[in-house]
Amino acid sequence: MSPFVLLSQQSQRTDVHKLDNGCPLTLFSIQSVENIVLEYMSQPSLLTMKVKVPVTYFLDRNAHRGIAIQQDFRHSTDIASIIRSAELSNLWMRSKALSTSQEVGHWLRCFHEWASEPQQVDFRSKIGRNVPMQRLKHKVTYGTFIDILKNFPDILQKNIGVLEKVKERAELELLDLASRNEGPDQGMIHGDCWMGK
Amino acid sequence: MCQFGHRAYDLGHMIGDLYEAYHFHSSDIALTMIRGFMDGYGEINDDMAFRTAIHAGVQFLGWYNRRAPSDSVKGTGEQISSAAKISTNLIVNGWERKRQWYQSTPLAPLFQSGA
Repeated sequence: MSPFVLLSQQSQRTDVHKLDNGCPLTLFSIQSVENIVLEYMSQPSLLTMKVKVPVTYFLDRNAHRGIAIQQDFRHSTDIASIIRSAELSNLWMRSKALSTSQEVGHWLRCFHEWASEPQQVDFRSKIGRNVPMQRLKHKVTYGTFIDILKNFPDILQKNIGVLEKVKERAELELLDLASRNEGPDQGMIHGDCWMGK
Repeated sequence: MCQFGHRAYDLGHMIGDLYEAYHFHSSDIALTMIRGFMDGYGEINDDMAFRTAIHAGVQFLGWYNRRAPSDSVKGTGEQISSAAKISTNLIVNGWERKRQWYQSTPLAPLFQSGA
């Protein structure tokens, strides 16, 4: 695959690399949360596995609406689409599906542990808690699930006691997470961990 | 979406999404992938397992809203009511820590120790 490259003559440089074809590629210091994460995720310890992380080739947050040029795995299809299509699923051997999911699970474990290592203090301080994303995630999950069940009043009525407790715990924990209380099995998480795009 | 949070959210999101694919698209491969994903992640303690089950249920139930505002809810009548029921059961049994209940569900791999 040939990545699209935009060359720039702007002055502040952090690093200069070359692509395979000899084109110079200028890297700007990366500032958005997503691009910080991608930068750190190209660490050797996370690259030894069969899971690839897209490379950010260019980022200009000052351009109108921002410009980011990232590696595109052009000839790939996301797994969420494959498993939702009987036709595509039939083309995929079960053994391959199993080994792929094992790789993904293993990668996630490595990511969770890597993100909590003492050496990653810099990464954690750059991302921070990412309160806006904590709130968004909460809003579309624990903030909405009881409302959805209002469409199923029998189910809601039978279970409302427990459901309210689940919701309450999630709300309290959201506040805890924002206020820097830490517990076991907490740390930097992927935050959008599913098989789709 | 990278953030500070509970690791069970990552596990539950993945499993909830796979369960949704299994439920609405009869994807057996999705079931296989739940097992493979947990194999790959490795052993987790009961707290993590129950939290993951709860989050998987919440994620699955969120299917109801994952559509364009003008689209109708995805699924046949039967699929819709059973999705609501199953996802609620995942949440409630997770809160009540009913380990045994999960053994006959696609979430059984959450509660199995490594061989």
